[in-house]
Amino acid sequence: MLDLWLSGIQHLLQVRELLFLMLGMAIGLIFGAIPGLGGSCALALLMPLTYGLEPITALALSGGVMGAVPMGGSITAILLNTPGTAPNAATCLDGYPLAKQGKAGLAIGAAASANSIGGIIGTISVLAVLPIAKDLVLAFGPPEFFVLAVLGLITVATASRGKLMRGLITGALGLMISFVGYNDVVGGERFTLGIGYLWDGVHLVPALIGLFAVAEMINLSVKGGSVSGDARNVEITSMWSGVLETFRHWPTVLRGSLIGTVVGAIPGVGGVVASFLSYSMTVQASKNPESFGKGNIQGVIAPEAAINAKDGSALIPTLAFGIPGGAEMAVFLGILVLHGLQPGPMILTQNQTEIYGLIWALTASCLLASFIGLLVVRPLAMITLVDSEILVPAVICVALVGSYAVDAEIENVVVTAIFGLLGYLMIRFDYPRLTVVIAMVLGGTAERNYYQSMIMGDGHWSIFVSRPIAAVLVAGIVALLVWPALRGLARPLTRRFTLTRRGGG
Amino acid sequence: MRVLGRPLAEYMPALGLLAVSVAYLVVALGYKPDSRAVPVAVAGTIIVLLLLDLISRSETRIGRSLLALLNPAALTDQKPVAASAGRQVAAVLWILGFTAGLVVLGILTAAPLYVFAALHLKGRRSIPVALAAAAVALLAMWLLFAVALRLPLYAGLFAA
Repeated sequence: MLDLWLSGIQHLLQVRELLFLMLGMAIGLIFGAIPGLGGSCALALLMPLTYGLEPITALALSGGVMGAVPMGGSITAILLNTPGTAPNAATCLDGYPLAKQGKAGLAIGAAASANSIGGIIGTISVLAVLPIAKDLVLAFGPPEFFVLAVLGLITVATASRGKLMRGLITGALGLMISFVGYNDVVGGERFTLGIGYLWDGVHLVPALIGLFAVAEMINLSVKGGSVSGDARNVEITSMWSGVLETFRHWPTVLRGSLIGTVVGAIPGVGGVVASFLSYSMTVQASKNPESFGKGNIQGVIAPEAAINAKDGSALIPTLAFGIPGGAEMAVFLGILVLHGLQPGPMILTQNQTEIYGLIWALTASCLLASFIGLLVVRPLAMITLVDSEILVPAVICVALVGSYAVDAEIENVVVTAIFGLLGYLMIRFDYPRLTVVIAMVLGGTAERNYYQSMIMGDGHWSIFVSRPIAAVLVAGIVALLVWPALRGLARPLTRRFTLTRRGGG
Repeated sequence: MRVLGRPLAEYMPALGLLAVSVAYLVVALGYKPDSRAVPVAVAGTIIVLLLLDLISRSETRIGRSLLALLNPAALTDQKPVAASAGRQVAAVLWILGFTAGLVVLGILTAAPLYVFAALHLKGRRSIPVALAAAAVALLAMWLLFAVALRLPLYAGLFAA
């Protein structure tokens, strides 16, 4: 096994491969930072250009892109509350409040180092798991996927501490939105209002740009001033403190990386679920949950570690079964096929050098992109001082045109504006936005797996509790729903008991 | 106007969403049984949750208990300072205006126009500064999307 790993590194350490890796990394950083573009767009544009390249060179270029996109996305997520890529939306939740407090350097430093560590852990996981990947993925059937989707949604709703009811309401709203479009299980279109564009459903990336970038720009425009409010607040020197913070919060990094690795290996779930789930679990585990959403550095570290760890493990279903984990992997699958590498169990035995070369390219790009991210953090952090009268038009322009650029459809712009307004109303009336996002991502998967489970179980719901993994996941859902209510009921009793004891003592 | 001890405005977000959810449920009920099963379940759930949300917003004993149990953050969180309605409407209208401009006039016309108008009329920058910014926006859009990405930039409703 070790000689295969070394062979992959050896093939990558050639001048031409390294140059293409660096080129991919630069493209990935830029595409990651521009909202609406992201890794799938970069890979799609590069795909025809890789045609004349050797497979290992094309994979070095692709690995370079995929490894660097998350870092590019986290920079704009932190500085402008504009997630460059969909999974970076979770980074906005605490990264942007930190930028507003003048701690953009701290947040970017933490994001860069969490990215690197997450990437390395993801690589180690994929190297360890690749030989047994087949058994792992086959353990999950439709009932498990359905229950996992519901569990993911409820985990995020309960993570909005003290807002369980509103979290569930916005989660249900996200599910309702996710059902818009053509139903590929039973056929027929639903809730499209006769609009052809909606047959494909509400496009996720334009909706995310609206919910986060546009909504926050409306908010900033209403408040006036700049992102960080006061120039004296911007302490860019705290960048290396961010790196140290990551090491100080090593359980958060480890948890995020493991969540990213596990979620990444599940086809069709993707980076958004990994980053939000990691964020939610960190809030759940924290002794100080109310500090999240207000600028807690762990709220940056957790999703960033998950995003890069996910990239490695997402290769498992893509390579082993030809089932892409998300849009980026779907485009990457096209590159593999273009170069005569047929995904499936055989690729793991016939093209091992290329596969291990790709894994190392992904890791190297992730590390280099984080390092470069740290180098350019000072000039980038100054963006938070720009007056809102200048910043808002610039960001709105990039956000709306970037939303169009996703798939060259002008309707995307309208979706972004509508979701921008919705996002602003949610900020204004204190409804959590996380659950809408996660529900929009999981809705389609959940419904599809629900139908398949019902067919498997002859229409009986017992299918969700009669299989061991599904039953454990159902138990997790019940615990998550019951625990806040029990805690709420127990609190007055505990207080009364304490007062009685004090009175007695 | 106050309802159950609270201003009517505090019920409006939940009432608005409730109206949308009921309409969604009515539409869903018109689909085939297989197609409507999950949407109807979700719409039913959100309606129940919204009714609980409405009750929890009231200044009644049940309302306070529900809020303490299911949404305790609302009891302790500081309410955001309400901005003037005029500023909020203006901020939203700028976005909607730009969106309409993009759809009607196309990207390469609407984007520089929006940058110029926002900087000059809202940001009170001088005409030369606003014009320069608009030119930079136009050049950046064209170079990035049309030249580098070879994206066919949308040219508006009146394009040939």
